[in-house]
Amino acid sequence: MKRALTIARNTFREAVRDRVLHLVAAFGVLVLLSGKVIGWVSVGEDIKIVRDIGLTSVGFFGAMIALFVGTGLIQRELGGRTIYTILARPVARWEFIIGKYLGLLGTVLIATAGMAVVFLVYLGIMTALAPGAPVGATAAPSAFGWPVFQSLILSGFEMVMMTALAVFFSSVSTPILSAVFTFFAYVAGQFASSVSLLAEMAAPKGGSGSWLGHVLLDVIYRVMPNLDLMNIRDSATHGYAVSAGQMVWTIVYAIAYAGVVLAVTCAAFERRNMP
Amino acid sequence: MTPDRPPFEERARRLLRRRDVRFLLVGVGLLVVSMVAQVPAAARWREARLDRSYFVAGGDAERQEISRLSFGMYLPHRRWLYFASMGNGPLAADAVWIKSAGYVTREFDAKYKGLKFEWLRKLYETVYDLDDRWAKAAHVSAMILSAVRQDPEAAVEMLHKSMMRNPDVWYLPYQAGVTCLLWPGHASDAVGYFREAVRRPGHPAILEQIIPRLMSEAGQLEEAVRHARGRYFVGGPKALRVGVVRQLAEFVSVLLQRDLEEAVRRFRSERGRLPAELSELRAAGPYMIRFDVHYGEAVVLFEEGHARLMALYRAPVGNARTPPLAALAVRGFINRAVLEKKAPPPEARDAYDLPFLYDPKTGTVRSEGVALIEAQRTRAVIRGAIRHFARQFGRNPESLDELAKWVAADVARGKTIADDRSRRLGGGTVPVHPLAAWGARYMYDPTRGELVVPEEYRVVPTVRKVEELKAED
Repeated sequence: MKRALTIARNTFREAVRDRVLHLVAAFGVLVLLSGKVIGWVSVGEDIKIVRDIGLTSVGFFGAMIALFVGTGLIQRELGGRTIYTILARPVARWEFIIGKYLGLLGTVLIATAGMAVVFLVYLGIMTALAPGAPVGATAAPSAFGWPVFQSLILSGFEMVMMTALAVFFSSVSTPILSAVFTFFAYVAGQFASSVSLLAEMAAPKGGSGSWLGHVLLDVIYRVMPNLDLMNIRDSATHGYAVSAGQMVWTIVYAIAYAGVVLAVTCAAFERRNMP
Repeated sequence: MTPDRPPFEERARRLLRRRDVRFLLVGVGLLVVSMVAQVPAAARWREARLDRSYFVAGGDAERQEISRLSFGMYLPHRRWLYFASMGNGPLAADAVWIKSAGYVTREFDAKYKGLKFEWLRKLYETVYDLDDRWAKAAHVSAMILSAVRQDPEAAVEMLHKSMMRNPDVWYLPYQAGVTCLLWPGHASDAVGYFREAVRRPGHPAILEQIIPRLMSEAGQLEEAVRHARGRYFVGGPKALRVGVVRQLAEFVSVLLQRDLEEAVRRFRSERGRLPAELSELRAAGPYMIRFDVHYGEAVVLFEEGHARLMALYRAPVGNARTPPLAALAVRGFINRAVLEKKAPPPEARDAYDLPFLYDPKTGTVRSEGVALIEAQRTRAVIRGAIRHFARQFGRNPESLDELAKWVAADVARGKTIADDRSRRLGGGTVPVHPLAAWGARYMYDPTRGELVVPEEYRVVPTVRKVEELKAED
């Protein structure tokens, strides 16, 4: 594991120097700050719009960083043949994959946390400048309320899953294809709950539907990354927290799913013939 | 010659020694964990986030019809917006909300060309469907739907569903109540909404005072009395308590006035003529006024006035709906002294200790205190309208008729919302003075642009309890 951590450290150093990371993060911050501009034309709902855009930006651009930085990670080592110098040493292949994953995850989480801090500061300033609630009425949800933090924490765990997927596709495919696959996995993951709903609707009831369709959709739902679970932005933006139990189960799911993807990646990488 | 095949255990042991197989087994184990965790973690969206209609195919006839009417407007169906936003419904709702703001502005320009906010309901429903927790949007949408599109049904529907989704937001039921109040024929629904509004946390204290007034306007006076009385005994700031006592005085006086009117009607049906004066009712037998326990408790603050009225009618002891007077006296609801002396008061008085006025020609009964307060309110509305008229035309209205016609024209054009002014002057005629049967009317001096109020109508009715409260430190 020590060797995996050494690889992780080097991967982190390499990734933070990547210009793509800086570009995507800067763009994310720019979009985040534009929330107020859009909020001006929203008939008094500017804080809500700043919150929506901010929370969405942190999640979306974090995933894009994982995608752009992560998808070329393994292939770069293979293309430049630097992997041979690593694997010639007493480093197992799985240690290499885990090291790459941890290094990339560290980079993505730090970039996401940076965007989250910018968002919270910006939201704090906007809220402080906004007019107060009417006397005697309930105040608007606090900018730094627990639901907003919950949403940001779950965005972090979304990155845990996205990074694992990026490393998986990077280890089995070319950089361009792995970017495409990762992006589609991200989009599909956002609608996992819709697949479950479709599975329910496909179940045979009253002469319509079929077991085959139902079972097929249900299997897809169980196997695909359910990134939708990490999206609690619709509640967080209105100050509604999710329960602690649900939070814990979602985190357990994210870690377990990332573990599945990494295990499959390690298995595939063990069998891979180096060119 | 083929080598001997190793036994199954040996083959399994070799397979398990392979690293890739071990990783696959770990992967399968973790997949099971993730599947198990997914079930409780996915419970939240099952509750509310999605509904089946996202996948229900079929033509949207209403949308197509609206599209035919209004060129240049395109609104994708909410299911496409939801998918296009990659599951970020609130963000898509923001976009539609901003679009709706521009649409309302544009349609105001187009209003006189025949387009009547055809898209508005669709836009707001889309916003709601994409972000059903956005209570403020539902609130503003409903106000615009009722005031601008003049579609109270859509407004109440929007508020009702948002109210169910946001159980701790007080202003949604409040707005639904106000909309019902202004929607002809639905005033009775308003009371339920108002009751719900004050039940929810976070409502401003002033709402407690507004709600009984709105309830009384919805025709639910007993409910208003019960609410105001409850509010009084809960306590609170002195200003609020003074307001509640004033309300109670007015409501109770109106209730007593109704009782008297009912008694006059019954007298007329039995004797075939109207009583010459109110005191004649006293000798006419047990004309029981409405008097149940709630009502009796409600008038506890005005026991003296009520007791006089009670003595006037002499409730029959033993009536199933009527507690014996002695029992009420013990509970302090009525004036024990009046009861003991068995001496009826010379005349019926309202909660302001002003006499009930009676017109023997028509049988009309009026609480003088309530009539004076009502006239005062109408005068305030007329004064406001005169000022508005003068600002707009640079001159005073020549008569109150001209003023009323101007307000009525504004109401017809939809330029004002259904407020106090529209209600009192929107009919196009000068409101009738509550004491018209006694010769009173609203008088106007066009040269000064002011209402002329005779000295006898400048009295501001008050009740003893208000003065006591005001005198408290």
